[in-house]
Amino acid sequence: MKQNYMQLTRVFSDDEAQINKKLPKELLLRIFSYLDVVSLCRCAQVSKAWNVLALDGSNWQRIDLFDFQRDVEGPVIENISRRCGGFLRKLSLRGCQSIADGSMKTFAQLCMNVEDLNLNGCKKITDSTCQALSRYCQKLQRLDLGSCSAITDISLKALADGCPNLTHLNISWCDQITESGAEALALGCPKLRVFICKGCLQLQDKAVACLAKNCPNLQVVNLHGCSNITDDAVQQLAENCPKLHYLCLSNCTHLTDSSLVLLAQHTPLLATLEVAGCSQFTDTGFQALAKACHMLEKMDLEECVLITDATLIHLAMGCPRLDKLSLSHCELITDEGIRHLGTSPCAAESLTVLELDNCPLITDASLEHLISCHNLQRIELYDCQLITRVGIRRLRNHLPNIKVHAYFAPVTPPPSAGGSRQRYCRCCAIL
Amino acid sequence: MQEDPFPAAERILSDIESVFIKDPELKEFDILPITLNQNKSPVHHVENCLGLELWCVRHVYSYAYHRLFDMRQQKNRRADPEVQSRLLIGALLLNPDVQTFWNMRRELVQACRLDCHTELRFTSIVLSRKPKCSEAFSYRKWIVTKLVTGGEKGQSLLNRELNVAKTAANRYANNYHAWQHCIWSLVHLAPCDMYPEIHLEEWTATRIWVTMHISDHSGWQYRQYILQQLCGPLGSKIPHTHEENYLYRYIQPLLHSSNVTQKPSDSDSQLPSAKGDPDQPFQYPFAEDIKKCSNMRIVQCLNFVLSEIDLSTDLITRYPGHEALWYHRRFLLSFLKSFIDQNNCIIISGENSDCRKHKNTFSSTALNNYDLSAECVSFQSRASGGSSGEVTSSDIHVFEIIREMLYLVAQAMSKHEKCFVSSCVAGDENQQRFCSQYNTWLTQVLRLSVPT
Repeated sequence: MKQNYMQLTRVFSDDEAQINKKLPKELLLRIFSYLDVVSLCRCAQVSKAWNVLALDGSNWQRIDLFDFQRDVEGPVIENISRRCGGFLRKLSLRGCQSIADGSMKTFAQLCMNVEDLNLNGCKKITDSTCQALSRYCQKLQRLDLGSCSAITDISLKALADGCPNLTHLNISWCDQITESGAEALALGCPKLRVFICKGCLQLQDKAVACLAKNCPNLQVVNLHGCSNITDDAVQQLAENCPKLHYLCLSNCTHLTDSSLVLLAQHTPLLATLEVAGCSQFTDTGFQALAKACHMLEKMDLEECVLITDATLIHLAMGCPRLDKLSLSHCELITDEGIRHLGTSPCAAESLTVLELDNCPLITDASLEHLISCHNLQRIELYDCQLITRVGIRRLRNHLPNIKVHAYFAPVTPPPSAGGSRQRYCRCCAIL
Repeated sequence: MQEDPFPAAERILSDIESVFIKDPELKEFDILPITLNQNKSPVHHVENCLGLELWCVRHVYSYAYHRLFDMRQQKNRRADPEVQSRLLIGALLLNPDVQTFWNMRRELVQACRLDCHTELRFTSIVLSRKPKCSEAFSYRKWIVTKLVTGGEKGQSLLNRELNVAKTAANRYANNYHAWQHCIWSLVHLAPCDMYPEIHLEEWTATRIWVTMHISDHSGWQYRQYILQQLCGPLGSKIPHTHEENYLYRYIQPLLHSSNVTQKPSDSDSQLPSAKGDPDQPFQYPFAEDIKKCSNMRIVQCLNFVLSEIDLSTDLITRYPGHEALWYHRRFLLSFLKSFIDQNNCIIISGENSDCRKHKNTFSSTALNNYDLSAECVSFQSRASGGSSGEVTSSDIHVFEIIREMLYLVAQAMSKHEKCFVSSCVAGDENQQRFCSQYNTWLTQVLRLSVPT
């Protein structure tokens, strides 16, 4: 027994183990580099040699700790920083709420080559983290500070000073950010391509204009819920950023048709437009847009309450690539509009998702018109009270794979909730 | 490809969740008896009340149940906490008796994904539909403990806990869990030695409640708990209600009726109430002496018990045939007996050890020490004015007076109970049965001896 054990240990001991003998360190490292975080940590416990190999910084270039967010505390980051040093290119700490400035400062000092850093939801982070990043991490390209609500303009000024290569920035829900921060950022980071600032209520036209003028490469802009901006901001974006292909202006309620007209004139590449809740938009604006932006693929028009069938007619004619269209709560839409959509080129080729929930005028006739949409995968019909089960069944007969979302319950009863636990499910028994 | 049989479940769940987020004043949840299934949202939100149509309940619950248990079984693949929370809201509203779901919420709270105060609100809405759900109450206790250890003030939480529990008690008769929650809240958030006035408030407030819910065993039990606290070692700081002279309200009339004045008109079942003229001269021994200790705590305690016996007499005669009332009376009598016995013991031991040894040097510190060790009644006589320094000989005399008074009360009570029983014998069938059982109990268990 004991002898066997001795042999076994000898086989796996560092020098004797076959794999360690046969392969050079470089190849072993290469193999390790394909493993994920969990496997690496397991390998590190096998032997001393493997520990050295598994924890070699070169294996740790990209780390995503989202799965361990609850357990990630400051010392974890400091250890990782020490291990990885200059090797680390990408680190995601999304949702790791325990992380605070101290460990992030250590990180910035040790991992100077980091390019992609995700701190979304690390709520304890403050400006001093960004100042440290600015001081040490000049190669930083992508930074996500979403929901780090302690962040202020000081952070943006620091980033503008120290991280000129920044291309992606997310400062959603950092509601302390104001004009001056955004302006500093625009001047310091001209390479910015992606700018996401959902819910930054203090941002106004001037900030957006400054970004638009200084960052001509902007392609993705998300101003969801920045309710203070007006048509002027959209004008600056449209005129200065011709590469724009994603724009979200949802819940910017001051915007009018002239925004749509300006976008139509200047941004022919626009592929995604989200304008949910922009209730001043009318058919006129969408007519102009549909005539000019032929690349449009995804449109969210939820609660654009003024639009009618005319918008659908123009979209049907002008946007052959249309893939996802949301018309939730567009209460003036009727079967006629859907008929045009159904016969359009986009319908046959590209349309995959159509949301018509809370469109009270839609009837089963609309579903008939959509029979020719071969690619349609999902249709939302919640609260469309003129739609019947029969109409849905007919649509299903033509498009067998479609997911129809409505409040109709299936005729077959649901599987009972948990066999042996049935006695607990009293509500189902009583009802 | 296995398709989701009811994709709307997800939407219904998110509708329910958004009502919770949008309406901080939400009060109630219930299921609406609507079986007609149209393409219409089954979630109704009217006047801070949330309703779900009946037809979708099976489907939504089944959906949430299966998804949650799938998540539970693959624990290593951590699920999105937001999705999990949404599913849990739906599942727990429809069926709050599943401990696993509550445990999943506990895990989310511990991971700081859910806010404790929102959770308290959520459980109160769960309780609005299932007021007897013990899992919901125990979850509340867990949250409250967490808040208190986190430094939140107990008293601010107490009112909400009492309100929630009492609402539940109103919705479901004999709601043991709700009243137990009240007791728990008092013990943990407002112990009697620190918040005597809250106990006194509860004592007066529940009096009204029990008179309207005479058959509620659990409600009576809560009252019994408060009585024990008021008369117990922690109740020594109960404020004196100055408007009312304890002696005159219940004790004197009791002594008066059953011991001395032996007019036939006084032997009726009712305890003579305060209508007796307080200036009437006393005829029983020690009458004048007892008058001196009218503001002492022991008198105050006796007054609590006697007033409750009076209430019990009143309710039993007014609502014949309710078992809960008779059981409450048994409690009161045995409580009174043990109270008297205990205090007699203390007085005798006090006299033997302290008084006899240091006859005239019986200091107030000795008296105070004796209070603490005796764990029953504080003899801090307010009548003797501050009781600083040496205690006068009249204060030593107080012991004897009290002992005599307790003896008199015990005698009077025995007699009173016999009268009461004899007055209740005539009545409906149940009342007769309860009454004779009570009588047997009095003689055999309590060994009440009727003075001749």
